[in-house]
Amino acid sequence: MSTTTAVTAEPFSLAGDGLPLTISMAAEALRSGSLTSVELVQKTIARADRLDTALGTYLARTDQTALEAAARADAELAAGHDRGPLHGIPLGIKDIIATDEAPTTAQSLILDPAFGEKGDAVVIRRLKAAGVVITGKTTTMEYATGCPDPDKPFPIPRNPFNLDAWPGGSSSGTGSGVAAGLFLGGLGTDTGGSVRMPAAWCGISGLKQTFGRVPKSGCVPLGFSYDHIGPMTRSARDCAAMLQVMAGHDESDACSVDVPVDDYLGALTGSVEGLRVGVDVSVFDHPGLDPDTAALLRSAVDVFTALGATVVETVLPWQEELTTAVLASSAEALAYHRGDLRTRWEDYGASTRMAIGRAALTTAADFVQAQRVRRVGVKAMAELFSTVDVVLTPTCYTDAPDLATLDWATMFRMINTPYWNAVGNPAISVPMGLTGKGLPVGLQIAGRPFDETTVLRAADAFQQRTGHHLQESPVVLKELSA
Amino acid sequence: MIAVETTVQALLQAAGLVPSPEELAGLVAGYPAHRAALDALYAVPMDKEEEPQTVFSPLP
Repeated sequence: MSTTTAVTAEPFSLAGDGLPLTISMAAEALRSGSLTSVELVQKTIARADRLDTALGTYLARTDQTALEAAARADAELAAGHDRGPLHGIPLGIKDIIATDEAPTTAQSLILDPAFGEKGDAVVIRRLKAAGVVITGKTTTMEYATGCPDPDKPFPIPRNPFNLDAWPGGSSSGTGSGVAAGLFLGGLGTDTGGSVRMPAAWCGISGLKQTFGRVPKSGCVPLGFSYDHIGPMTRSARDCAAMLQVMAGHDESDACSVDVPVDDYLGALTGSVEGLRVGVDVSVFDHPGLDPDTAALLRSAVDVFTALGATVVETVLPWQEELTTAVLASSAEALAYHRGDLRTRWEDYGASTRMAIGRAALTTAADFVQAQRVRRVGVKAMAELFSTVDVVLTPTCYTDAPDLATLDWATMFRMINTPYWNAVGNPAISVPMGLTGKGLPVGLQIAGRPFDETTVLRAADAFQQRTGHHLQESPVVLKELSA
Repeated sequence: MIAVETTVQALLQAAGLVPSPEELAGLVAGYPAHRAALDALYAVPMDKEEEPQTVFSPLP
């Protein structure tokens, strides 16, 4: 187990290919003239050529349009037209979010190809206006639920830290791709933890912002009242840069909330002095918590103490009930899928059809009761966050599971993320070290609704002190040096 | 007392879903825990008139 991490002191990968590790580092290089966007994208393409077959990161690569977008970014930057920190930065997009560059499949035989013909999702339009370069569509669990199905004609995603392990999901490809440098950031979606779980198990950062903060129109739905499109990057700072562009009201999403967008990057002071940090101590009694993850969590708490935060013990209320309330989201999914499940049951992946079809066993009254319990949870959060500013938990109770033994029910017991989808509060996962098996695990930091600035400030301060987010995969380094 | 298998089959039939015999057996085996978790939602203390968190709007 590693509670400290050996990381490069230089802003580039130890692989020696000159790839900046983070968006912030790349943005600096683009503006200093030491790197062009075309060169940057060429480096990520070269990595994809070497690694994608093993990792199963991409469903579709868009090398040509990416290079064209990079050339446009270079020309604009050279002409003094700077669109901000994402200008010229390569991003991978989970293949349930519509983009003009490539079809959207939801990694399924079911989805009508017409879905992707409606054009870029709102978040994609915003990211393109900020000058990003889209390198391709990334693997997902089918319709963002279930587990990989080897009987279906899609790649099996693998963990960059151990190819026999799962990278997590459902935003698997975006997680593995950021960790392996196939792009520097990307989009995932999170209905019960699908941004934060792969972020934790791939050793990167992933943010589920407050429900309604980022419009989700143009994304294939799973649970209408639980879905989020969130940024996945190496650092919390890079998540802040992406959220800055993605956030804001849009009428196309009925769940979008019209609240002011804060200055997320400006909030990253590096200080948590005086911040009231709650630690959910109930996790230490959780039967699924492995000793390495527990020790890494304690070390992470010590970092906040050392940084001058006021650390207090707390217990999250209604954990089992609010987790059940997220499982009720499958009723929302069944409403969307019922017609196809009735006629094309076998065309769905085995795990996906069971995860969604199980909702037939949930009654209408059960679903409404789940929404009433969510309201109880929202009120309980208001009370909790009157006493603390953020809450720390492990993102998952263990490191990544082996692919060979993976099943949906077991996976669901390993994650500690759905709670925050039930109540809608923002939560980020940031790396907190490696277990004895050399696999990353994540620290989850949650905050008040629409207070992403505090969540990101705490995460960034932790990363400035620890550097776990700069840990590179030995599997990737070995392959690139071969 | 209606058997769990009968209940599960009826609910699936009402939804028009036809899983394989193995899948049906899995759903039957998991149903008691599924039902218990959902029933626990009704034990959460709340105002009798508590609203659901999702609210209908007449505006498009």
